[in-house]
Order: sequence, then C-alpha cells, then structure tokens
Amino acid sequence: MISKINKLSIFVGVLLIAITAIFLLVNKLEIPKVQAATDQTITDQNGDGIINLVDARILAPPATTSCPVCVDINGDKKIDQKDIDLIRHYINLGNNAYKPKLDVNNDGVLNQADIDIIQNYVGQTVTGPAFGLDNPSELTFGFRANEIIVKFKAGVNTAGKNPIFTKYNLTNDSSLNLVNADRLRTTESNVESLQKQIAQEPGVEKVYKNHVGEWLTNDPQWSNQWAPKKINIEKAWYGETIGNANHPVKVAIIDTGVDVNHPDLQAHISSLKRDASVFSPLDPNYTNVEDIVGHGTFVAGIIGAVVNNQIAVAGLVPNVEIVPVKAGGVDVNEYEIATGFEWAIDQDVKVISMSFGLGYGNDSDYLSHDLLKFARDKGITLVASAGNFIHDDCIYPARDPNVVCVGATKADDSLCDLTDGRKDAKVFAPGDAIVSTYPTNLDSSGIRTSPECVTSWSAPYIAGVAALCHSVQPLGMELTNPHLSCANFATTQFGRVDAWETLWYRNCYKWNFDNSADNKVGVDDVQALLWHYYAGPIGYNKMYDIFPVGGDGKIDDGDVLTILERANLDCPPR
Amino acid sequence: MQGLCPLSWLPQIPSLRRGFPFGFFKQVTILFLTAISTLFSPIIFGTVFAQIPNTTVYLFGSQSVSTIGIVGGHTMPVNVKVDNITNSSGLAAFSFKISYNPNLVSIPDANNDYVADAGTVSIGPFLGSSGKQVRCSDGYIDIDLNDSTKRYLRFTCGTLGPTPAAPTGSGVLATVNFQTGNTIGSVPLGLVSAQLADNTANANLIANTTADTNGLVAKCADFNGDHRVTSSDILAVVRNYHTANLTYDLDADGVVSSADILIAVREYMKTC
Repeated sequence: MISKINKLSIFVGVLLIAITAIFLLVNKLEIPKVQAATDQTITDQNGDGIINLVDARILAPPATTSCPVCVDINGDKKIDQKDIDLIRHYINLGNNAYKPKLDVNNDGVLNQADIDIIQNYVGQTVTGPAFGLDNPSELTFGFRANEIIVKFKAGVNTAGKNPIFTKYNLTNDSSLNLVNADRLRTTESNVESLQKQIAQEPGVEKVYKNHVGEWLTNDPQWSNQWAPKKINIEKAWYGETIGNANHPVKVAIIDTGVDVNHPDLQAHISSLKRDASVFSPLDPNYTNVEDIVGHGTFVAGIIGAVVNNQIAVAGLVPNVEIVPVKAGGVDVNEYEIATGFEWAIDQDVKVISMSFGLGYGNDSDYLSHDLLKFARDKGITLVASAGNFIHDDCIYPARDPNVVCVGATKADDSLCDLTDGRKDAKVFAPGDAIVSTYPTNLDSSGIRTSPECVTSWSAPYIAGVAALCHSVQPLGMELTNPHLSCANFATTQFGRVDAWETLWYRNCYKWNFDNSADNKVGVDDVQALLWHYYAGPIGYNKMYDIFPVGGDGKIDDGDVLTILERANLDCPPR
Repeated sequence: MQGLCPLSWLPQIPSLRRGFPFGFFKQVTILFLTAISTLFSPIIFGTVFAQIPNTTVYLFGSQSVSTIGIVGGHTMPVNVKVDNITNSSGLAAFSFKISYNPNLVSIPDANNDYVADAGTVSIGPFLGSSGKQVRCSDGYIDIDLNDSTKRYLRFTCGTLGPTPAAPTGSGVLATVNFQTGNTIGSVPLGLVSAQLADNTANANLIANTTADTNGLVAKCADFNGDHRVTSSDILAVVRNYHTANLTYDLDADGVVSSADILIAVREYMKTC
C-alpha cells in the first residue's frame, strides 16, 4: 500500500514538473498580469518631488505586473514600434543620453532589457483611470508632488481665497495676476484628488497640476552652419534691408537662461531679463539669467547671434533685442513657465520662443492656455517645438491653437527621426547638426554643434523668421490678417520654412501687377492672374507664375491659392 | 421706422378710431398693416438704392429689412449684394472687407486661427451664374490692435480663364453668417472696401459705390415656451403695445413699441 502511494506521489510529482516545464517553455517571455497594481493611488515613491513614470514603475514594475502606461514612453497611449524606436535611438546615443522616463525597468541603464519588456506590451493601449489618475498618460512627463495651481474666477481676491487655503491646508507660494492664479503647496500626497475637491469650491475657475516638462534636445557639439542658408536667409537679408536698428524686434526666449556676456550675443541682449523662479523684483537674482545648462544660449544664438562681426556664428535676425526669461535649469515646470510667460507679455515682446514640452494633454489641462490666448490677441507670435517623441501631433505648448508648432528637418529636408508634429506641425525648420552659441563658462570656444536632430533648434529658426517678419511689416494700428502676417510661413513642398518667401510682404509689389502700381494686392491683381489660369504657351505670362518661387511654367491652382491668400492687403509704403 | 407710421397715428385720429373695429380684429389688422408697411418700407428701397443706376455694392440682411439676429449665439446672415453690373465684359471677381464689433457679433473661428470656420462665409450665386469656374479665398479675420470694438472680415473670389462670359446685372456676391453674442443692441456693419474687376486680361476695376447697414441683435419673441416664434407670440407683443411690460420689449429700449412688433414679425417661424 505504501509503495503504491509512493509510486503515485512520484507520478504526480513528475507530472507537475512536466506541466511546469511546458508552461515555462510556452510562456517564457510572458509576464504575469497583476492588474491590481495599477489600482493603487500614485504618490512620489522615490522622493524626488515629481510624480511620474518612475514612481509608477516602482508601484507596478512592468516586467512583473500589467502596466501599459509604464512602458508607453512616448505618451501617445499606444504601445507600438515608435516606443521601441525611441528607446533604441537613445541607447545608441550612449550613457550620456540617459532619460529616466525611458528606463522601463528603472535600473539606471537604457538597454535591450527595456526593449524586451516593451515588446510584451506591443498592441496594447493605455486607458484610465489608473494609479488614481483619470489620464494616467500624465505620468509620462509627470507633475510636481505637493503642489497645485488654482485659477480663481475674475474678481476673487485674497479675502475670497484665504478660506479655501485654510480649508485645504494650502500655503500660497506665489501668484500670477494676469490669470488670477496661485501656486500652492500642499501636504496632500494625492494631487488629483485634491485637484478635484478644490475645483468644486465657489470662486475657483479651474485647478491644475504643476506639470513637469523637458527641454527638447541633448548636448550639442561643433560643426558648420548649413541651416540659415537652407531656409534662404541670405536672400531675405540682401533682397531688402531688414529691420530697423533703432527699433529692434524684441524676442523673448523662455529657456534655461542666456549667457548675456557671450561676445557674439552681448550686443543683442536686452536690459530686460527675468529669472521666473524668483518672485520679488527686489531680490538681486530676479534678473540673473545665468545659463548653467547651455540650452537657452544655444537657442539665443540661432535667433540673434550678431551677424558679420567675425565672431562665432550668424543669427537670423540682424536687428533683434533678446529678452531672456530663465524658467528652470535642468528641469522645467509649468508654473515657472507661466510666470516667465506673464512677465514676457508685459515687456511688449513681439515673438516668444519656447523649446520645451509639457506633455500631450488637452489645452485646458495647462495653465498657460489662457496666457497664450492673451498673448496672441496682443499680436505676439508664439513659437514652440513640436517635441521629439515620434508623435503625429505636437507636444504642449506647441499643440495649443495659439502657437506655431515647429517640427524638425534634416539638411535634405527629410523629417528628423524623432520629430513630433509629423502630421500636425504648422511648419518645419532645420533641427539637425545645428551650430550655435554656447556659454563660455561651459565651453571656452563659446560655440557648439548639436549632433542631434531635434525640435529644440527648429523652433528658434521659426521664431527668428517671425521676428524678421515683424521687423519688415508696417503694422500701423491694424494688424492685417495675423494668420498670414507673422505666424503663417511660406514653405517648400516639404513643409520646411523659406524665410524669403515668408517675407513676401516686404516684396508685396511682386503681386501688384497693375501697370500703375497702387501698392495693393487688389482684386484686379487677383483676377488678372486667374484670367491667365492654365494659359497655353502663347497666353503664358511669367509675371503671374508666382508659385513655386521662380515659377513652374504654368498658372495653376498653386498660383491661384497663393494670390487669394494675399488678396485685398495693402503693401508697405514705397 | 417710417414704415410703421400707421401704428403711431391710428389711435390719435378720432374718425378713424370710431370706424376701427377694436379687440382681436384690431390686433390682426395692426399686424397686417405692420407687415404691409414693412414690406413696402422706404427702408428697403433706401438700402437697395434701386433708383441709382451706378454699380453699387451693399450689405443686406436675409430678412426683408435690415439684418436681425436673435441674441445668444444664433446665426445672423448678412448678404453682400451688387446692383447694376453694366460693363460689357461683366463681373469676373470681387473682394470686400466688412467691419464689425466683436463684442456684439462674431465670426466663428473655432481653432482661433483668424480664418472663418467652414460655412461661415460662402459665395453667392451671382459670380458663377454664367458658368465660369469660381475660386475663393478663406474668410480672413483681421483685428485692430488699438480698438477692441473693431474686427474685419476679408473675402475674395475670382473666376478662372477668359471664357465663358462673366455675368452682368445684379445679385448676391456672398453670404456671411455672423453669430450673435449675449448683448442686445444695434450692430453697425460697415463695408470698409469693395472691389470689383471685369473679365479682361488686365482685370480692370469696376467703379462702384458702397452702402453699409445696421444689424440688430434682439430678444427672441417666444413667449409661450415652444421655442418657436408663432403668430400667437407676435400677437402677444401687439397686445402689449405701448405698455411697460418689458417682457415684450425685444430691442431692450425700455418701451414696447412698433419696433418690437416689427422684430417679432421678422422673427416669425424662427427657432429660439
């Protein structure tokens, strides 16, 4: 009897081992799915002051639990080849390109192990709620722990706000007057729960998380300046006298600061400067915009390095006043961005350049939306980088309808591998192997070339062209069609900007076909072109062949659309 | 409001008052007279300039008299019309610019790109009536940096090639669907510029005069809550004529006057 039991035990044991072996063989790459892991409310697990994917992966390691959002490293809510391409791109760049959000297993290294984990999720989508968030994709960029931004209704003053601060144990950190918003410190670890509670209070218009963003590039290195030539800037400079030295165009650069003593920038730096993390004008650091990262100085050089001074590089705008707005160092957060933004609007700038991203939420998720609208209505051209996460759409703030979203291209006009805005960017500009100024205390040469193809550099190219546009355009009191004037850019067939074409307004007479020019692109000019539509060899008149630049031998829809966009506009006085 | 004279003088002439059947019949009669007098109002002819042989471009509401819109986000259509194209080659292109007060009416622009949303500005039947192919620009919205009460809409259409012949005569060039805001009041609409071009190789300009119009944003005359302006609603205004019952004061001028009855008539069968 005992021997029978032993035989049965051995048989059952062998059977169990065999089943286990078969299970492991069949499922060797499958991960156990523990759905409950993402049901936990997320808090700042690693104590770095930011709630993001790193914290999510601590709560729900994607290798052992089911956590799609943990591996959606480009934040498009789909786990696909783009996520793998993105991580592989950064693996190839080496250890210096390490980004925590890409480190799927949180082991401090980007490698094949991270890709292997993502492979198991391909085809899945990110849905909410998860981690106590309606939109778990907010974790891709993350938001500040223990901070909340409350926008109050117009007219609600300190007396109206204080009871709310007391009720929720909030400490007022600073205020934005233009949109009546306050940044508040809280001890509550569940930020979204607090956000929803405060939103119910009378007098509160909206409550925001303080989103964390990132500068949209990596470290640059040396090389040559191909990009300004590519966008036809020389033709734009020499075709007409650009700008007025007595009234340079003010361009605000919201970035890591600027090396204001750089020999190739110094002459173009405004006396107006601001560190947006310092709130008192009496604080000596209020105007300290020292750039310890290099990103902002690089952007400033693209727009405004002095031309023809035999130093370093040439910027796009010969007569520019660079207004540096320092909004963070290595990291950037939404509140400081908004603070810098509000300040810049008050300085009467004409262009604001933004080479950072805050994620892919809706416009209304971001405090800056109202400020951007306010700036746009003041006639300020807003330019921002599309992002570098292989999205078809643009990152915020570039995705805001008030902003020109700029994607990035290479020297052959093909898209940069990582550029966002592949379908939604309003315009593309060079982003590859860009050479520009660099802080002299970080590199004594004061110049570097970026090895990367990124949108951080393409946005300032468009900001520069917009500044040129402002410099040549006789605005007067009426801002004639802002869409066309300084926010709508003429492009090549690839969608890449052409500076000279964009400055058509200065060359308005080219569309003024009248024998006795009336300085206006009138309906007579429009109809004269349309009358010659598809004219054969005998009727063809090159004068009307305005598109593409230089003509294509026929008067067709491209020419018709080009002139219809410019119809009924006055040319500048001649 | 000359077209509404009967409502003013009728009660003050004893002989007429004696012979006039009061009560419901009176109200119906007043309504009838109002409608008739409105239809043949000098306002219409004054706006149209029908007696003037010159080529004229002018703004014109979809209603029989000047443009009217119901307060609170309703469409207020305005036609741009041309009269008396008499040149031999006809009209081949037009371009106009309308000024408006964005605090009272707006041009829908959902994505805030200063280009009117699709369907807001549309080509009228006249330019293409002879069979020529028509091409139009978007409706571009211009702003005035120094005056928040002014915005402009710019719109241009032309025709392709020399043939067939371009149209002559009169007709609607375009329709602009303004959207009313939440404020009741008069809305000046200005034709800041209007250009016409003939159907020749050089596309010569056709001389023209222009005329503006005044729109009116008014309350909806729906008093029985059926979300539609019916005859009973119009009669309700008539019954309250010259009373202080401001419910029926559709133009918010402080009195229920003949103008309010006229507004109700013009809103007839509209959905609120």
